[in-house]
Amino acid sequence: MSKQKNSKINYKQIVAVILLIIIATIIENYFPELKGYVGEQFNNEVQSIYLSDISEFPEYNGKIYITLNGNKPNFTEKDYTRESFENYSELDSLGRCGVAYANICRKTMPPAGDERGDISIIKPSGWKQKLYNNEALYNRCHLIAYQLSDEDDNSLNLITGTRYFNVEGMLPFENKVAEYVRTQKKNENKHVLYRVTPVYKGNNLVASGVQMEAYSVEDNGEGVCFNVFVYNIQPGITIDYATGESSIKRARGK
Amino acid sequence: MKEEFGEKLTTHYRDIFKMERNKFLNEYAKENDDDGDMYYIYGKNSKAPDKFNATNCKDGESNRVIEIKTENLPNDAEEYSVLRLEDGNYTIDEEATEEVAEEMSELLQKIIDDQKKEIRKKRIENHIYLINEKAEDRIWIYDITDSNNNESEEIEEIYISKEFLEKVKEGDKIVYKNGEYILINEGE
Repeated sequence: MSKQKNSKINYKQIVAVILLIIIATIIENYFPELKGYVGEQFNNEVQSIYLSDISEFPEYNGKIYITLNGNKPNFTEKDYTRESFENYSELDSLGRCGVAYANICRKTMPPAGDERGDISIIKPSGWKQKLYNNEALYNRCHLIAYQLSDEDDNSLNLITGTRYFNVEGMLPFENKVAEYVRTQKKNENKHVLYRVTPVYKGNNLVASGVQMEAYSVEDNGEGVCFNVFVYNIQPGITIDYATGESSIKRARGK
Repeated sequence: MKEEFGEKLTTHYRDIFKMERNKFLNEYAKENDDDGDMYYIYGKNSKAPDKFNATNCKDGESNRVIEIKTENLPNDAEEYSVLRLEDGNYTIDEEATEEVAEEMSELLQKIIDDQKKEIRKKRIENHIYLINEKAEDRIWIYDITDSNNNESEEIEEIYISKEFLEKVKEGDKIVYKNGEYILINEGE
C-alpha cells in the first residue's frame, strides 16, 4: 500500500517539475521582459535586467532605479584612461541633450568652497514648470553633476527632470563618485569614467530617464562601479513626456 | 501699457516650433525622396566654429546630430540650408531650401498668433501674480490670487515693456488691471 502511495507522490512531483521547466522555457524565449519582473515579485531587491538596447527599458514599477547588465557599465578596456576629459553632445534638432561623458577626477571637480552659479537662464526641452503644493515639479538636472564637473549653466548638460528624479534618483549615485574621488590620498590621482545618457521615447521632449554608468579606472572598478537606469518620475504626478505638461494623478474611479 | 509684440517665442512655443518643423521636414523628405536623402542644417555647432549641426530628415533618423565641417560643404551652405548627399558629397538643394524657408516663416507666424492668444488668456483682470524669475526680456510668474489652489502653472510673459521690466524684480507681486500689469508696492 505505502509503495503505491509513494509512486503517486513521485509521479506528481515529476509532473510539477516538468511543468515548471516548460513554463521557465516559455518565459525565457517568448517573454524575456518578464524575467526582471519575476525577480521583483519575490524579493525587495532592486530590479536587475539585461538590455541590449537602453531604449527598451521596462516601465516604471515603483523603484526609482533599476540596475542594468549585472550593474556592470558598458566601458571596455580601450576606454580606460587616466587622462581627464568632459564631452557634452550637441543638442539635437528638437533641442534635446545627448550623452554626456567624462573622466572624473580632482581636476574636473569644482574647487573646495566654490558654489554653483545661477542656472535659471536655461530652459531645457519640455520645460513646463508647475507648482504642486507650492513645490516646483521640475529641476534643471545636470547630466554630469556640478559637484563632479564644475559645470553651471551649460545647456548641453541640463535636462528637464523632476525634483524626485534629481534628488532621490541621480544624487546618491553622483555622491558615490564624488566621495570616491574626494577621499583619495593627497598623492593619488584617481579617475572615474562616468557617462550619463538621457533616454527619450520617439520625439518626446522630456527624457523618460537616464542611464548612469561609472567605473573607477585605477582599481578596475573596485571603488566605484555601476550601471543603472533612473526613472524621471514624480510620485503622485502624471507627466506627458511628449510636451512636459503634467497633472495630479487621480485615483482610479475618480 | 500698450501691448508690445514682436517675434519672440516663449519656451513652450519654442518647443512647439521645433516639433512642427521636424514633422514638416519628415513629410517633405518622404514626398521628395527621389532626390536622395535630405539633410537640414538646423544650427551652428556650439563648440566648433568650423562646423554646422545637421539632421537627416527621414522619419526616425532626425534625432541623430550630424556634425559637418564647413570644408565638407558647398561655400554658400549656411544655417537652414537643405542638403542632399550625392556620391559622398553634400550639395545644396536650392529649391527645397527655399520651400522649407517659406514654410518655416508661415509656421512661425501661426505659432506667434497662437502664443499671443494663449498669453492673453492667462491675463485675468484683478488677479495677482508673483514674479518667480526674471530675465533680460521676460518674466516668469505664478497666479497667486487663490491661496487654496494647490496647483499653479508657470506663466512666461514676454510681451511687457522695457520700462516695466526695469521696475520689477524676482519676488515682486504684480496685479493685472485694465489691460496692464501694475507693481504692487509694499503695504498695498
